Amino acid sequence: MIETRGLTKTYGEMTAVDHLDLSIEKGDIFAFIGPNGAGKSTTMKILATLLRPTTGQAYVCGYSVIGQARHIRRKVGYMPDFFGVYQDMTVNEYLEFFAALYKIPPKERRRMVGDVLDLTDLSYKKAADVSSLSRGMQQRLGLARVLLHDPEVLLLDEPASGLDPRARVEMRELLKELRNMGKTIVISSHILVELAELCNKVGIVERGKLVYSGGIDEVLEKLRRPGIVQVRVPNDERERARALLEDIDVVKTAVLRDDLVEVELDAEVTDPSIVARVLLNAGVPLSLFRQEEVDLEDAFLRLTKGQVA
Amino acid sequence: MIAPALVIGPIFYREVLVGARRPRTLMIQTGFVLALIIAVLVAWPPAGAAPNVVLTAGRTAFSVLAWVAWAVVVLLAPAFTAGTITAEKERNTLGLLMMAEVNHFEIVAGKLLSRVFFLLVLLLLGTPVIFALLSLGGVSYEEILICGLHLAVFALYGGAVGVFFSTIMRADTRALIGSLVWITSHLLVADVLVRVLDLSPKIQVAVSPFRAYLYVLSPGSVSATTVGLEPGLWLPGALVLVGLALLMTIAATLALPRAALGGKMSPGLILLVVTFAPLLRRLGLTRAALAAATGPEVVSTDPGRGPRGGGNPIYWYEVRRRGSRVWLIILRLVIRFGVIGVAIAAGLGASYYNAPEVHVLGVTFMVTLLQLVTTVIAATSVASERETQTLTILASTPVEAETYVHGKITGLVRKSLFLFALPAIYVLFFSLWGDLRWHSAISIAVAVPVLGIGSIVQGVFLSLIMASSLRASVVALLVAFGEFVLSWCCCLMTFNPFLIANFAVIPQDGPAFYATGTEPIYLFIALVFSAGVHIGCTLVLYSLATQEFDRYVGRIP
Ligand SMILES: Nc1ncnc2c1ncn2[C@@H]1O[C@H](COP(=O)(O)OP(=O)(O)OP(=O)(O)O)[C@@H](O)[C@H]1O
Ligand SMILES: [Mg+2]
Repeated sequence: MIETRGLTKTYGEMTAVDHLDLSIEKGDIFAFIGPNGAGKSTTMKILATLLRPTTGQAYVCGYSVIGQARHIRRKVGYMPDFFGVYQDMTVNEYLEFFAALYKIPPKERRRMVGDVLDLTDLSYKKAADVSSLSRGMQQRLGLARVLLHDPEVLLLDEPASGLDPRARVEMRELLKELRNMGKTIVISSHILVELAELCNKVGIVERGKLVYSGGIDEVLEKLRRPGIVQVRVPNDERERARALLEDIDVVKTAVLRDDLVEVELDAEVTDPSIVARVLLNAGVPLSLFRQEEVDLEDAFLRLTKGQVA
Repeated sequence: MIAPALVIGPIFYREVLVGARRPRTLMIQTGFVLALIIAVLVAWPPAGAAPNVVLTAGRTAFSVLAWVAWAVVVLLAPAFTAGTITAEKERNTLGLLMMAEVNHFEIVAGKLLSRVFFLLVLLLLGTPVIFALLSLGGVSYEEILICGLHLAVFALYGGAVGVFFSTIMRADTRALIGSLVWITSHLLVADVLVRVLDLSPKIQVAVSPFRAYLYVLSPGSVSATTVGLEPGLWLPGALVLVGLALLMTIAATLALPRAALGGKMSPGLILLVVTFAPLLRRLGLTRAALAAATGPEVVSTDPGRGPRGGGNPIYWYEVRRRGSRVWLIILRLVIRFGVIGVAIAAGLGASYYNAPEVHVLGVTFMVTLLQLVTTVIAATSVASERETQTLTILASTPVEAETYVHGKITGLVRKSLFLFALPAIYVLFFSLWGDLRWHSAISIAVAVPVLGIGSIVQGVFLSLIMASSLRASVVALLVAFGEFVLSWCCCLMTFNPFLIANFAVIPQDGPAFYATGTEPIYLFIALVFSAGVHIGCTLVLYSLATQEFDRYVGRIP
């Protein structure tokens, strides 16, 4: 559905996107993450045909962004990170205006606008002036606008910024629904926990370069260090527990981390339950025992070096 | 810089510092001085010319320079200040500024004086060129200084008008339109008034800034009896303008707190408050009057409708109106008929005094108004969408170049239709009345649409290629002014409201600058020729705008 080859965009000396090769299939929900200035918005702009790449190629829905841009614009819904709203226009007028721009037949406009308003929970603001909406509502209105022409591909640049927790959950549910409808969604966000459960693919960029691209489960699997076990014990027992664990001969190190004791086992150990057994035998109460978990945030921190372009 | 900083305050200081660093400032200054030098070179007499020829040439060159400088001041003074307060509003920094330990008058005056300061620097840069004329003779030190004083005072007044509209309007371009309409109306109405009422020269120069300046440049045309420049005749006009500038500044100060709250203001009511500000203050009613003028925002429950049927959405966007309440429509109609009535009443007064120049002035005013307003609203149309970042999402839709450009242009024409109709109604009325002849109506019917649509296409084109709406409107106004000047030389009347008015009103006399003389048929040929050239230019700009549209709005073709 989306394919880029050697996609590069430079601003003078500065390379914002550096030989990016992405491949996103139909129905994928692609999480695009990276530190500030990594080039996410720039890439999305190119895919939305609003920026000409310096070199390289990008295809959306089988059309090239160069030369066939007009076809792409019909199939894509793009929501920029910052967008203005018109003064003196109501929510309803705003959406009908865009419906007309997308050449939705007059008879269907009303229904379409009603549908997207319902979907984004904005129906009650129909008569409100667009410029009087709060930041989060404007964000939802932006999403409503993007859905108007029933696009195959959605390019959403930080759609969750400015939303309150409930609205974020709702946005996530909405995106899940769109996923079930078979839409392809590229979404950039800094709120990683949300992406993990929504997306099936992830691309991590740093300074314009792709550091990782692939399934979300694979990246988490790949980053998981197998020999790490974490346990939680009461505070006054922590030091004793650590000492006990360090004495086991298959344990390489045992350290206190946050409110946990983290134990690194020798690589050949397949059954980590010895850790629990030792502690229970010594009479140390155990409230948590688990293998180390890796989430998207850890993946992000480990794969990027914190270099801000 | 320290001394004025202490006297005038931190706002002045900061504005001057920031302004001096802008490359734009340098460009404007260079352009201005170049224009003056070119004007002088054109007027400079050939070597070895007879002494009286040299004298006349010196005089002519001085007049040309003085009028160029005057036009620059009239156009630029409000343009320099129209963005000052609106910019703070847009950046949401006005509240911050007002919370600081600066009194409101100081904010307004600081902004005003710093911008006027730039304009004065601009004029000062022109002085070497002007003083070069002294070597030709025909003009004295005294005249140059008094002329400079008048320019400075008008800069102050124009700047104050700009600051005032900047305070009460939300967008800088609306502020610019407001101030330009205000200033043109002031100049023309005062001038018509003193002519129609045939007032004494002393009062003429006090009431009409245009007359006052005219007196400085050619005393004989205002008062036949004077010899040289008399303080009694050149001073009052300047003093009146200073007073008006002060009044405008006070009005802006009064409106500032409300502006910081971002409320909607009714310019008409505010202007009423301004006019009677001293009286209201004395009565202790300023606050109440302001509150009435800025009333609470009305929350509507009407969701409104988008573009109808298969209509062009861009057109709809330009002409849509919020508030389709009946009383608003009635109010609008009343205002329109009021304007037509006043115009016709003024014309009737003119025919009573048998003064055809008043018809010329009236038509000039109406056509100039059309040109100014269409130029500015067109120049801001696309650029303001770019400023508010709404253009990006528009560009991401499949909207085609033709739809967009055509929708914009037709929408703007529809929006300013009343201004198109005004001169036509006026001329039609007086043709029926018998003051004007039928070909007046025909000239207007040809020239006004050509000029109006031409200005709109020109403005939309500039708006497409410029980054900010204020810049686009200033450039568009300067281009319009350039066309105004050039058209005198090339017989291209449709570019110039004054020439249009002349052709329409007194073609049988033929304006002095046309040797074609008395045969209206030649004038019609000139009209057709000019219209042809004008339409040609407009078509070229239109096709450029549609062909390069994708590039201008920043998307891949
Ligand atoms: N118009 C421009 N001119 C010059 N440089 C630009 C321009 N637009 C973006 N850049 C640069 O390109 C780089 C990538 O910017 P981009 O907006 O794509 O980052 P991002 O990944 O979206 O960051 P964020 O997470 O902060 O939104 C940045 O270093 C930015 O400074
Ligand atoms: Mg971004």
